Amino acid sequence: MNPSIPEEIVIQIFTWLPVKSLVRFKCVTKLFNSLVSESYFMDIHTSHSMIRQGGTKYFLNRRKFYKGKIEKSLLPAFGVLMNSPSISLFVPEENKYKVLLTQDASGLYIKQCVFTLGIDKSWRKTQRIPRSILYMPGVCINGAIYRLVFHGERLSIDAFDLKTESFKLIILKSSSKWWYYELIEVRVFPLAGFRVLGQNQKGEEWKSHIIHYPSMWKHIQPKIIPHVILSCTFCDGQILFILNLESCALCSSYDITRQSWRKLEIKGLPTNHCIRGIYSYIERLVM
Amino acid sequence: MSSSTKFLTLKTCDDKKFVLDEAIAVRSQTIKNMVEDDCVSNVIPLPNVDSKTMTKVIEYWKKHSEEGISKDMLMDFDKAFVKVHHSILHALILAANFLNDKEMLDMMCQEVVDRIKGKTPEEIRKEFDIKNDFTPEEEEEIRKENAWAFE
Repeated sequence: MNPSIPEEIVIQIFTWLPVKSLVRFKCVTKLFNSLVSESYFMDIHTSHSMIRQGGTKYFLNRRKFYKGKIEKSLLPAFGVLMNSPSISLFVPEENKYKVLLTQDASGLYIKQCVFTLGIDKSWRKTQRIPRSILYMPGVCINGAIYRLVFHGERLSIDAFDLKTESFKLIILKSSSKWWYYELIEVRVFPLAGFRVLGQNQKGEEWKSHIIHYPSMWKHIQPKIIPHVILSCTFCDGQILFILNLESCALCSSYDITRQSWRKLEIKGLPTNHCIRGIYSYIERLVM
Repeated sequence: MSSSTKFLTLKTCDDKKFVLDEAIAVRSQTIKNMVEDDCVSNVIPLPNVDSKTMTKVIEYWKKHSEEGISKDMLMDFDKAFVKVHHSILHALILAANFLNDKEMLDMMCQEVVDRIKGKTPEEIRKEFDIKNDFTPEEEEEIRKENAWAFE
């Protein structure tokens, strides 16, 4: 005789499963079907995704742009898909996901469209934004997308609030060596070397921080380093840095709190130097 | 060694007795509470655990209480420990739940997660002895809606 596992433990086990398995197990019973849309379950599942292996996924932006099916249940929380010349970003906002499409059309203005998944039937046009050169995809902080742009000759940050769907341009005072800059969200101040522009949790203010290169990169010529591409994984204050080299891509993550570097292995990372961006997201369930 | 080492006697549902150092036995929150509430007389009955399972639990507790054992060694031990037949794994989960040893329960649950994540809904029903409460039509509908998860 083998008594079965109590329901509460089965539910506990389920909070650790990947989204795809959970969606597949919806047809096991009515309980599991409704479980995955219970907010308490979704919350625990998201917090477990942050720490479980495979819970954080990475998108790569390469010359051959990322192609993937948009699956509602698999939508990234902070994920960014960028395919030149348009940029799409997914953002959770009260459990809604919006995709922003920026068309890099010629002319004085750039057209932008928004699509709310499950609600909109077609793309909605938003406010036009002044023409500027987007040279990096952005970060999403508290429902606003920030991108580094070249506006005229000034380095600026273009901010698009996904809640109000309004646009704002923040001109940066110092903009020398703009190729060194990356935008990240910094939850814990202060940082010590890499030039990153960090926004603290309180909001609008961007500050320049420097993070020193990891000692494991010392053998690399400094002039190669600007090809570094980074992404913040958000969940635990780690910033992921990728260094593109001819023969390989080196990954390291920087812990802001401990101010320490850690070598990182990402499965399936291409070995040639065509990675232009990497974006992470925490796998989570959505309604 | 201090002379105050206390031993507890645990009695499983099949009437087998296990004599165990109290310091080790209190890894079980359930036993710890009983000790603290002073309701331990001679023998602690464990009506939900059989001797075969308890032997495994004690093996785990003793290993994790060993002095000077390295993290790597414990990790290797844990890895080997969970590689058991499905019925034993389930019995260990029930025991860890009853004994209220969260660390052990989490580890066993993690093993179940690894075992089931690639399974089909039918296999999940079998695994947890769950009855299908959908009509064939309802089930088909949900499958269709989520076809991508079956790819």
